Amino acid sequence: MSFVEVNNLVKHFPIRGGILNRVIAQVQAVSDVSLRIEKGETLGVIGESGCGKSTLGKTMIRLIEPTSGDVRFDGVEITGLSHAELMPIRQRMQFIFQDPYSSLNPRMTAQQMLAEVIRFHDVVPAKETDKYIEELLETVQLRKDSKNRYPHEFSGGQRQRLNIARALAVKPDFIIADEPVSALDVSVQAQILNLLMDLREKFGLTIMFISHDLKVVEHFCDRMVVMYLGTIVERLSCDDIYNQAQHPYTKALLKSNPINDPDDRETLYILEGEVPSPSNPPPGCPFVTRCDIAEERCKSERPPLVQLGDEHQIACWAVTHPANASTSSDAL
Amino acid sequence: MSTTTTQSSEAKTTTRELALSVQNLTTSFRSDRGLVTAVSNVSFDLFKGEALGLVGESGCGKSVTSKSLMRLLPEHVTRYGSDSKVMLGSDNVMKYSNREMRKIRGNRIAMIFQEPMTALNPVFTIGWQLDEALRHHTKLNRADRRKRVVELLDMVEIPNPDKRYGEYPHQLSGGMRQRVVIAMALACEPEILIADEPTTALDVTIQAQILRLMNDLRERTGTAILLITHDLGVVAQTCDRVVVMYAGQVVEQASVGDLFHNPSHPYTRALLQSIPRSGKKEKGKRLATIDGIVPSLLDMPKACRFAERCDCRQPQCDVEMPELVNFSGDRSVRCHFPVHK
Repeated sequence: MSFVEVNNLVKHFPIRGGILNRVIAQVQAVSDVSLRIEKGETLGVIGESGCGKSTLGKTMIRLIEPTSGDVRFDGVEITGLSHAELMPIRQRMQFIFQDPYSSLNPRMTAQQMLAEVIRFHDVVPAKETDKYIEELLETVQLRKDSKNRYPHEFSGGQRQRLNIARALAVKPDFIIADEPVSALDVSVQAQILNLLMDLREKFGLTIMFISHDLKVVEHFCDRMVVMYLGTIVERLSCDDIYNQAQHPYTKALLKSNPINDPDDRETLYILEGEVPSPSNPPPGCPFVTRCDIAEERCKSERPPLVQLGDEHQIACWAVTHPANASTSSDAL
Repeated sequence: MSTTTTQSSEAKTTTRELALSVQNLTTSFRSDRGLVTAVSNVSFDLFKGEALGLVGESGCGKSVTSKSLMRLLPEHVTRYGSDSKVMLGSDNVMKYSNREMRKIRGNRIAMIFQEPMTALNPVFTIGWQLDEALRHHTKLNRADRRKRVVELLDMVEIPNPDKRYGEYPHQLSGGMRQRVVIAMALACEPEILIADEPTTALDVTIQAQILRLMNDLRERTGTAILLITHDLGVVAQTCDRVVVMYAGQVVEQASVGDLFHNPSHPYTRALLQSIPRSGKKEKGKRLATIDGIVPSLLDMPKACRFAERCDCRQPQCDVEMPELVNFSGDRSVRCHFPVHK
């Protein structure tokens, strides 16, 4: 059994309207996502804005209640648990938010902020709290004397360190990091990524790393899933994504990512069209409206996620269907 | 220091024509704690038909530089240096009155702002907003203007331009709004287009569309583009030359090939190294970082501003401010001990 298992997770947000304020449509933020994360693994979740990657992360630790589907964490199904039952498990799974500017309470010092979490989850005895906080700050490479400072006195990178300290305070095994470096400058981004790599090793953390930056995901993660319009379209190892990727959307993402070589100006690949609305997705493959290898079948039938290699899964009729018709039963 | 003009080895550079020349631009703001100098002695040339990248991290003064060129900063708190010049042709824009300034804004120099969500007025149709520049700067009649607006929308590849004319900004997606903003900037076929982080708020697939669009326009109309960005990948893919800024100063200026393959200034080198690279052997390795933080604008070192964080720091660096020295062709570096290969 995997450390974290997500089975057929669905999250629909209702759109209300009309004079009776009835539900008139659903935004299908996450539709039927299944994934596994092994202990100690770092899984990257990549996709463009609005593809449902953040909602997936938040639903997985029940910051948002799922519409259907289940999430298993270390063998325990957490979707049906009561609030009280969930608390000890919440302590083991933590979330690092994207925006270091809005995710810290401006009226609490670093010390108060960390102490609150530590007290709530009863991580260490009360009289050791101060010492523990100093240790934590040291772990994330902040100066000990910064504990009496307020968030506005920290720079963006330092705030993100504080966010990481807060997540680590309860000694979690599993961390969901939602775009932890996208608001930062490249040099600061490198510092935070190094820190996360060190901590991952030191504490044996399992990480789900949500990002839109392919370069960062490729560097930091073991495996990645590519999301489009609420579904996973491809799952692959991060070792050699440029040669491995087969889904037309993944390929388009790779090719539209500007590379740092002025001599290699192979014209940026242009993906035509816009993402369909998540409240009215196409009935077949979600990518069909922008795909250049789409077939007739793609318009009507949603492709299942099919095993291609050991660590490679893909949801695309054009890739899986013509080559082999037998593998479709391996769908996850 | 002087600006680099034509003395290059490349043949094409000898024939290039100056579009805009920025000389010793210094921009300061009045604040409670005294005069804060955000941009000091910035000089660079922008040639016709080229794309010049202006890169640097947040707070290095790139946006203040661009807004100074357009004189868009709040006048009551902004002070420009007495020898600051922005030469558009033979005129110094810095000496222009507000009325004269209005004549060139959106006409000869146009600007694209970072946030496509806030750059458009939500209560007017996009057609009306596109028409605005034409109303002010051209003598076209109403019907001709409308034709031109539809043409512009079509040029930036907005489907059904006739229908979109009457729509409001909220009816468009982020990528389409940014295209409208670009169309607006191009309405009067400006000589110079200043693009301040035009793709930062957009997804990569949309970014690729916008970058291609800007490239096409440059080739077709010969507009000079000043592209302000912190994304070195975007610079590598679109620019001819690059100006690197740090703490309000230009630290290096070079052609895009030289800059990426052979960076001279330690800051440029560190910046390039801190980007995650593709490929198996780089995977999971620690990234190179720049220790320390950018010095505060209120307390700038008198000597080299990067010395604190530099890994090739020498005693001289703490004493003397290095000048921006022109080495060869397009390359200038502000460092006592530049790296040469």
